[in-house]
Amino acid sequence: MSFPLSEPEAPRGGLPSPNPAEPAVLDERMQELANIVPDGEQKALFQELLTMYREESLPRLRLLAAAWSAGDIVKAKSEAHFLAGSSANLGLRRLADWLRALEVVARQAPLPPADGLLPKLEAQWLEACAAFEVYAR
Amino acid sequence: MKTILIADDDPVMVKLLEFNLRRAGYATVVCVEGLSVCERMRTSQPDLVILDMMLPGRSGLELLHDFKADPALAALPVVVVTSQGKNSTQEELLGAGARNVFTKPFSPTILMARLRELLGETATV
Repeated sequence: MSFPLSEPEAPRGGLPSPNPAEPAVLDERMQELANIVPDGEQKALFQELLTMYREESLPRLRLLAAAWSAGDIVKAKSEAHFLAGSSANLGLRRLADWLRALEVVARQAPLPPADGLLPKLEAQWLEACAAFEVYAR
Repeated sequence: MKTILIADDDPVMVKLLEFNLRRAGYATVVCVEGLSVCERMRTSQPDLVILDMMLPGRSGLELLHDFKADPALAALPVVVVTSQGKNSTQEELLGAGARNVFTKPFSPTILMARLRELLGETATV
């Protein structure tokens, strides 16, 4: 099963927002990941993946927000791209799609004002990690 | 044992790929930086390369052109993984020599089946 991210249109003005109708974690993706490991090893793998994701992605969320605030299009775009792909790999659908939308906006200057981007990113990130962790317990 | 070089800077992606490949009986070599991929290919002599589209230092597309220009690397099968779903990008990558393009998040099972085909082994899916 595959569910490639859509290519959203760049919204006119302002920051795109996460879509609350989308699931924080895709059950289908979790099943797909579970299928690659023998029974009994799934939770250990999920926990390891989550730990790696947390360690890598949180600093990069901060880099993304800092780049956005500074108007650094190249850095904002590359960080949003990396984070969207990494989040999608774990099935963190709402966060991944939002980051993809931010990447699309970051392709064009000037960037819209950051308007509390970092706390919004951190809140979505926490929610996504918590939803994933349910599968790792 | 066949060796697969993973060129990707996302530790989560690398972990998933290594997990799958080792379970399937392949050795893995990892490269997280674009500028050192060619050198790593020469020293580790992999049977296949899984290449991320956006590596720091050098893009997947640039690297595909580098491989093509180097007789020692030109024949190696390369599978590209990317977060971008645009058809134009896929066509560009395939035109530059990629044997397959997988858009993240892709099915590990389907990827493994394709790798076996490219390595001349029987696909099980």
